[in-house]
Amino acid sequence: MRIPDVAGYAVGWRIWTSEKPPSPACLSSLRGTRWPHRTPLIAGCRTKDVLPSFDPQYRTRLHDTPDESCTCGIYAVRTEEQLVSEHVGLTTSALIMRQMASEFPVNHIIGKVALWGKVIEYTDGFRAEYAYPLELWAFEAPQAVVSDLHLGYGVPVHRVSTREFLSDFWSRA
Amino acid sequence: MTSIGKPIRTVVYDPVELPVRLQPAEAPAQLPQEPEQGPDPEPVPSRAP
Repeated sequence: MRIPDVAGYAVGWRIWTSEKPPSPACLSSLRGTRWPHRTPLIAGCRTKDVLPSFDPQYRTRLHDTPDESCTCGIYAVRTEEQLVSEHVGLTTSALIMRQMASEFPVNHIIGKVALWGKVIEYTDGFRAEYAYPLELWAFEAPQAVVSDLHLGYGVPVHRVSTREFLSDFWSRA
Repeated sequence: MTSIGKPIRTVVYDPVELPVRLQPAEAPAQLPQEPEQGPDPEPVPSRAP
């Protein structure tokens, strides 16, 4: 049995794409992992499935997630500014995509997340064992999607205009 | 991939209270429940004196 070091949770920032209706959810941008409603996301190590390794023992070794010697875990950065700085190009692309798309656009969501269980803290972020959204900002999302995200996750969800967000971000930078 | 810098330390957090009430991450397997007590004993007919 693990003895916790801290009562509470760490807070980080994430970016996702929005799953299409009828049950919108946050999808990890990199691997498309669906963040479940009302249930914590649990980290799993898929390194052996994805990355080639020269160490066969490393590939087959079972370990806790996240592990200090691996790259597994649920990633988050420490600040909103850091997140947006890294993804502002992505966000701009989303704006262009929306202008070009005739169907439901691929929307981006940023948000604060709670991280707990085993958490490896980094200078600029975290790798965590469990995570759940705390507050979401959905870019250019239809009101129905905002409502469904709110009902699904039970957390505050805000609709954000990408153009206004970028303008505000650059004015603060 | 998002850059998160260099590792500092490992911490185990116990979320005493999250803003949202969550269901358990992994529901325990549903095992057939056994009755807490055995069946009532059969009544023993009293013998007439």
